[in-house]
Amino acid sequence: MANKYSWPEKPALLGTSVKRLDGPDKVTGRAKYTYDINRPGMLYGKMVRSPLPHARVVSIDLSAAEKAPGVKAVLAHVAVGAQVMYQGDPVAAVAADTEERALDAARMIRVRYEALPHFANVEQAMATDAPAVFPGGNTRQGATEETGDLVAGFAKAAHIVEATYATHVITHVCLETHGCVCEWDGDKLTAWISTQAVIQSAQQFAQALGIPQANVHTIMQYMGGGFGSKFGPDSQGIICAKLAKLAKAPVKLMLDRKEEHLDTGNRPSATAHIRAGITADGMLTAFDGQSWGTGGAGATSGFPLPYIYNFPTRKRTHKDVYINAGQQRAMRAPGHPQGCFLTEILMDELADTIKMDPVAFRVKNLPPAAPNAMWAEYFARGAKAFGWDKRHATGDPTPGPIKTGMGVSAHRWGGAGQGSQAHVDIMSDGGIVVKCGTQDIGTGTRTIVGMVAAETFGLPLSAIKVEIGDSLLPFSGGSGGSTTAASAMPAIRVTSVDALEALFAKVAPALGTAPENLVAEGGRIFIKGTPAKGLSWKDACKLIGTEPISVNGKWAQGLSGSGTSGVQFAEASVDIETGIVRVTRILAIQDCGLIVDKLTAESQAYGGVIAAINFALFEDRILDRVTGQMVNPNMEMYLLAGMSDVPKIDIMLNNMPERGVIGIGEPPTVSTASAIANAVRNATGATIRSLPLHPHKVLAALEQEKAGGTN
Amino acid sequence: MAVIRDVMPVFELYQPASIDDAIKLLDKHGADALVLAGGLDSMDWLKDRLKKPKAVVDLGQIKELKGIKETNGGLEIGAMTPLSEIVRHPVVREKFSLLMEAAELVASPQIRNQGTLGGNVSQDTRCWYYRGGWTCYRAGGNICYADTPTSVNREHAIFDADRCVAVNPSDTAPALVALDASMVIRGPKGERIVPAEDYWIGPGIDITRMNVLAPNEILTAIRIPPTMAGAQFYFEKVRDRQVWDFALVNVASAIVVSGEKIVKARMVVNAVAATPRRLKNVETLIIGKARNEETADMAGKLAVEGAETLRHNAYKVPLMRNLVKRAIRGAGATWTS
Amino acid sequence: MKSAGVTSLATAVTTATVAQAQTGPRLVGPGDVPVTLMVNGKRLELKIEPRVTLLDAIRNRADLTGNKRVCDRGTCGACTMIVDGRTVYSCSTLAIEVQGKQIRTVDGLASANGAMHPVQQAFCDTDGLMCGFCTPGFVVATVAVLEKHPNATRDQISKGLDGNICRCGTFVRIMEAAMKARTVARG
Repeated sequence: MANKYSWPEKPALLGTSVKRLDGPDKVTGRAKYTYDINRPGMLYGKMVRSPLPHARVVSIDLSAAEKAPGVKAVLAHVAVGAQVMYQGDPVAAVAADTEERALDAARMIRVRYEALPHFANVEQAMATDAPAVFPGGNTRQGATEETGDLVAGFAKAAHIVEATYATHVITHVCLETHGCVCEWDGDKLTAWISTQAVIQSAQQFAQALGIPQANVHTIMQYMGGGFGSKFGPDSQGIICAKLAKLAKAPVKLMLDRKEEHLDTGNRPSATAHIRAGITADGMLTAFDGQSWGTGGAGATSGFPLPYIYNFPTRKRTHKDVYINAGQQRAMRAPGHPQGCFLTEILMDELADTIKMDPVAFRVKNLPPAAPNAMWAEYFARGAKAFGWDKRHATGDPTPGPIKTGMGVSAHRWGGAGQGSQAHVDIMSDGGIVVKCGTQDIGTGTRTIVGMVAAETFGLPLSAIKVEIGDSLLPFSGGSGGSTTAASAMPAIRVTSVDALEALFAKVAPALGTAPENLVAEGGRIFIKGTPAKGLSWKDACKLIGTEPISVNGKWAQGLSGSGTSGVQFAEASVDIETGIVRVTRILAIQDCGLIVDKLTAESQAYGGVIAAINFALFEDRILDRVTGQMVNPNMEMYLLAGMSDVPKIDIMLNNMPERGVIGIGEPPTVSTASAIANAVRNATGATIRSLPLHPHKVLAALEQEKAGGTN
Repeated sequence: MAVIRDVMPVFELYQPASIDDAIKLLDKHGADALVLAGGLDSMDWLKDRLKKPKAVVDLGQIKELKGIKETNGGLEIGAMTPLSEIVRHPVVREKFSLLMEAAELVASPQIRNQGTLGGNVSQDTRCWYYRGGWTCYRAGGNICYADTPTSVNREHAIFDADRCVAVNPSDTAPALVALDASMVIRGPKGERIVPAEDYWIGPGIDITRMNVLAPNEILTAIRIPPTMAGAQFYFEKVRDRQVWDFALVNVASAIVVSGEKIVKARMVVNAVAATPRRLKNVETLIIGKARNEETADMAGKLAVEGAETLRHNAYKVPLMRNLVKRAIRGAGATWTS
Repeated sequence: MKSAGVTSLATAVTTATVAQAQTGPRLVGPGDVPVTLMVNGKRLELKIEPRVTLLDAIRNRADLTGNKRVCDRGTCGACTMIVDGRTVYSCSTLAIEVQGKQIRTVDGLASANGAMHPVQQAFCDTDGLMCGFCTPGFVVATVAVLEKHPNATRDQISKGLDGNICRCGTFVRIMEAAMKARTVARG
């Protein structure tokens, strides 16, 4: 129901393409990230971490480090007798006056370990004779999810596909590593921190250090990527604060690239043994899946399964398997890329049993259409735009080593938001300041905060001064789950509308009318219907007087929504003599409710797609099976796409203003890997049921297909 | 296992201005010295603190080591010549384009600007166990971590393993072998010339080194004779991404055809063994034959005979076979995007 | 690979060692030595150890933090600078090696009156950035490509930027920015 806060029917700015406010600072190098912060008298912190995947700490000797040149603080992070559970588990730390000296001193910290049995992969942890590495068990079986009569469901099936599908562990690879700069003033802490959650980080600092929240001030104006892994100070932040207290000087502790791979989170693996049935005319009848995965040492690995499509009877069990590796953290659409892949390859295999077109097959088995379930429409639109009718059956018949194919996939995401607060000041010189304790993690939040205010005041974006990224600002939640836009934008809107009303109250008498008759548009405030009867924004604000208009506001219902859907098409070429997969085209159809800034929303979509291309083809967290050590904790052998790896990508955003603001950070990354894998299958005729699609895997699948089939 | 540190340990830096001065330094410091060329290999070792030389000898000031000279129909390339300069050189492009194609595919534009030809051919292997600081045979220890039933060894060798299963990662190396190049080496006793083919050594000869350079020797130049100038060249590098990566397998070939028959051939493959592998048996096989699919097929099969695979690198057999086939098919049959 | 003298060398670092003129090869370090760098047309006089990389010298000793440290191994491009007209990874270059050379970084691309370089403007126009941490490296690499090929094709741009990685996934719009910047006249 429309009210004064409702989004404008014909917005001037919302939904248009507006350039990022902080673009100039970033492209000139002026933007200061945590890594760039230098404070007077600052020391450098370095951490010592377990080199072993599982061990008991027998002794820690800090004495040599304490005496090393330039060292101002040394601490042990664990007690003697504690167990370290993965390579990279923090043990001790040191702060010194230069980075070089901190490194030299860290090497003087003498830790003795007693190696204990460990698991480097799920097979080892699940073996019947596996030693008890994790208290309470090496695995944790989840509850069984069951719907309908599975036996009857399979009885109805004319065709059954049974296979095992798998996705792998990947790390976040934030380009700016985790870390912070901590500075104490008595018992008050200021921390510049690379984070997705500036206010939550302050709260976590306070709790971990046993000091009042009111004593902690966290700051983050620019950060170099989080993707779900930066929601608090973590061990390195608390250690940094402790070193700073001990040393009585500011300390900068930034992780190096290897630490970043080992101990800042990852996307858990996912494997599922699935049996599924369809009728002769293509209706799904039954789904029976046993899945498992590892989130590392003692951490979970769940994901939705089956994904999207209607299986009237289904049974699903999931088991968390623990291995001695770094613990998982939320990574861009947690669980969904896994659930999607484990379902979507199966869907193409099922379609092939009755030689049905994969898009038609999917459409037949969708849940009913709804604003948050638009797949049928997106499939139709996308198939047409992509040229899906030119797709050949499984196995490109074109002669020669290059085979081309197309694949498709569907996804959903939540993305609701709430609970944000904001503050708006309007000054007598016409200046406007909008404050909100949210953060811009590269998504463009700074810009859309400004845009919502500008839209409300009928002004250009340049008229708004945006202040975010500081724990002293009005409360807003962390940037995760694609909830930021849906949380913060309503708060900005409500607060701006209230501030405008307060301004109207000051201006109305001068225009000889009541406040409710005024509108703010095109840089002026005037009487509705008679634009000539008004004042410029600047002149109107002169009426404010010495006390600025200063309004607090918060999130309200009706301006945001939840639930998005999308569909992606992929075309790939496979060189069957070398195993190289080249993605040639991606089409992504995505909605996100009301689009605030079309430019940055599209960039989010491109970003999500490219992240998924990496998941499909390149990156892989590889552990040596015997020692449990990561063999590629760098950016040389941990592979991320470069410019020549990126295909043509088309984004179709579906603006749905009637649904309010919903987030877009995560949904575009869910489907791409599945669409690519299906395209590879369509191209080669060989089914590869696991990621990543490295050349050695493609060649192996082709050899196997020649020898008797992968199907 | 060493934990990687990002800042290099302290060292004395020497910046000699002449080859002789550089050799004197290397002779003096012996195993305590590290040669610094473009830095893309040395700095990794230094930053990981796995090599802690007392002295680093920077060759960057030695003018004699840079530049490309034409010599009687061939070329002499100073070992410190950056790869991007080689790619641009008109004679390389006109007569020895095989080297241009290989150099162009090395790593990234920045690395091609900094990295040198001498460095690229002399670089150490990239086995991730060895590079991670595990004390294997190559590092002076008594074990190979890559050659076990459970190792992650998909990048490793399918030929000539001798305790160590690491491979030579260079792209320019096989091209130089195919061009009949020779390496000019200088030491305290003077200069010696080594055919490119003999420059690299396998673990059977010296498991701790990739090539014949003694600690007090410097590679000063690479000479390319006119013998394979203007031949039909083929270079292909197969790697995981289209950027950066070392080859999974690469192939460099030079073929001269007269009438319908092959009259001269060089076929070299790298990343399948610790040294570039010249396929003399394939070269002999294809002499006198037509350059067609039948010949390509035979050659490919012969090329991979005797391959011994590890648990995760069996794919290198069909890959190598197919690359040899494609080398004989010739340009125009490759992948184009 | 054991070297006996690390601890003694480490303590020697505390005393500044000035290079002695010698007949034969010059010894530099291991302590602080004077290093003069020409950065963005300005003279930078530093006293640093030979082991300090160009990146660390410029970031930590000259506070030009536009240049980022990401992988520190020449595998991501975030530290790209232009030295004597060619792009290099400053993390894999010793500062002392580039004395006497012209070094250009992202910090020096804007003109004297503060106007952004056309490449920087193009990146803003097409939104060729998100978190921005890879952006300085990409901007510098793009400037280098377009100075070499003012009318670069997509393929030339692609190959010229293949030494830079972005994790946020801004490649598509970086390409648009590079294509756009070609058509802007350079002063």
